[in-house]
Amino acid sequence: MFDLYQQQILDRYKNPHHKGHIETFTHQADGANYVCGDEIHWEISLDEQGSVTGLKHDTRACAICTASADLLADQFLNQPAQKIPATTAEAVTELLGIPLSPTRLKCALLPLETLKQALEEA
Amino acid sequence: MYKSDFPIFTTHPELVYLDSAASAQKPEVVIRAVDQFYRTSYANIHRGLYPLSVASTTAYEAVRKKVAAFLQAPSPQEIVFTKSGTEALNLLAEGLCQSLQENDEILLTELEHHANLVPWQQAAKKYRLILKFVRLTSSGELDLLHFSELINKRTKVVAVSHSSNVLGTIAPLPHLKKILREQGSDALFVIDACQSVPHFPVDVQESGADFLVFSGHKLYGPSGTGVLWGRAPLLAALPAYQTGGDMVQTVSSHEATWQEAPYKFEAGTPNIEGIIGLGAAIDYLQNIGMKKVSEHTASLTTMALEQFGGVPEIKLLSQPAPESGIVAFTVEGIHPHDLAELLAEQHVCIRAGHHCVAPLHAQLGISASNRLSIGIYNTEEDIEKFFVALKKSIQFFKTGHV
Repeated sequence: MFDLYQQQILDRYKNPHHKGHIETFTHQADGANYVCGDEIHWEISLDEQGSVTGLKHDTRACAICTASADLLADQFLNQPAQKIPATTAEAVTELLGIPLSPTRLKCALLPLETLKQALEEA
Repeated sequence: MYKSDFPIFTTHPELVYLDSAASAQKPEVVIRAVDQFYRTSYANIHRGLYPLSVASTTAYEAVRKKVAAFLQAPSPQEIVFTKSGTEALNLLAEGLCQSLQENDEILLTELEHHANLVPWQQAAKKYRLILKFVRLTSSGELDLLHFSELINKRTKVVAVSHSSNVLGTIAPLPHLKKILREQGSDALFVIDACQSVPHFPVDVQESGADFLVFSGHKLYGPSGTGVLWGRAPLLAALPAYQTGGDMVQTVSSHEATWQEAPYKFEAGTPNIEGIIGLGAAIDYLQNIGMKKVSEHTASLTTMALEQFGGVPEIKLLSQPAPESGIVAFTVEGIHPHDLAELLAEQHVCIRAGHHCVAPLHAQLGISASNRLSIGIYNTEEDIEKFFVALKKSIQFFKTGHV
């Protein structure tokens, strides 16, 4: 029972590593999944070479969404920002390591979609 | 006791369905009525001159009488069939607002379901009207003093939920009507009764309402059915909402005239079999007796409220009226979506999200909540199983194991 909520997901939900704010950021975006009530805010700072030097999320969301945001931050921090638009939905599912129903897939993908939006809007 | 009347629980014996405020399961008698109607009496209504069409029309119109009796409405001609509660409210918002003057006011409350908010909001934009909202008290009741303060000469429509689909609080309709009368207001009084009609007797004459709306699928009837009740002279004055076949009296290439209400609001072939099913659902409830239905709902809701009191992680959104059958809550440390998922794995169905009332959630400072809602088929055992599953879920989120 509760296979969806593996230790990694619960840990990241309860003690996310990348939750918070950045003093000076270059990009930001808000995302929400209105049906279930997930809300996320991203702050990103890129250096002149286009590398992600800071990445924080402020989520009011379910465990799947929060864990997804936090694991994505692991992936993208100190990496070239081009990695973000190149990341696929499949990569997120793989990162979470759990099978997701169509509804939960929306929770899992909200952080990535919002992050992509933050870069597009700059 | 009533669970065996509902085949879904034979198919899924383990199912604990506590989401009836979203949509109710269907009793065998409703399923059979629709099936039998297709097999024995189906034809289009109000058209054919052959016996089958006459039988179909008679059966359809008989449901209009049943609905009128169910609501204590003076005449079946005051019952309009729609495809949903939402459609009925759209019909009213468009029909009533188009004859108002710029800056006339529509009074709603802060707890309205999107169905009783968005149609008025959009009509207000279109016809340049002003929307106002009655505040809630800390326990989730309408602030009657604020209601009374907001009424003025420009208030033309007051549209209120009878029973809140989130807070489970019940609006004191006769009292609201009394305030309107005392203020000399000629505002039309519109009631969204989607959550009240399934749980306790609703008497349109006693309520003081001018219009009342409910949906069939929450009343154990088929989806795609809704009802609009309106006082006869008001329905007569209300413009047609959709036009087309069946609602017309005369048609030439450039002109058309309408039938009288309720037919002028029923353009096209309606959900005939759905309405037949709705009639069977009303018969089912009437056979039990709405007083008994109400006692059943109240006793299970009270039981749930008592048990919620023993779970320290629970925060209730309001103090619901027991006969509403609705308890909304949040659990400390568990997002509503996760809780619904954990319960679903234990065969318990509840709602998570904003329950189509986003502004109220924003005001409460939360993005979502969970909601348990009772139906006639629920039992004390269901409530017990819910709490076992709830406690197991809380334990799991705290410790990582059960």
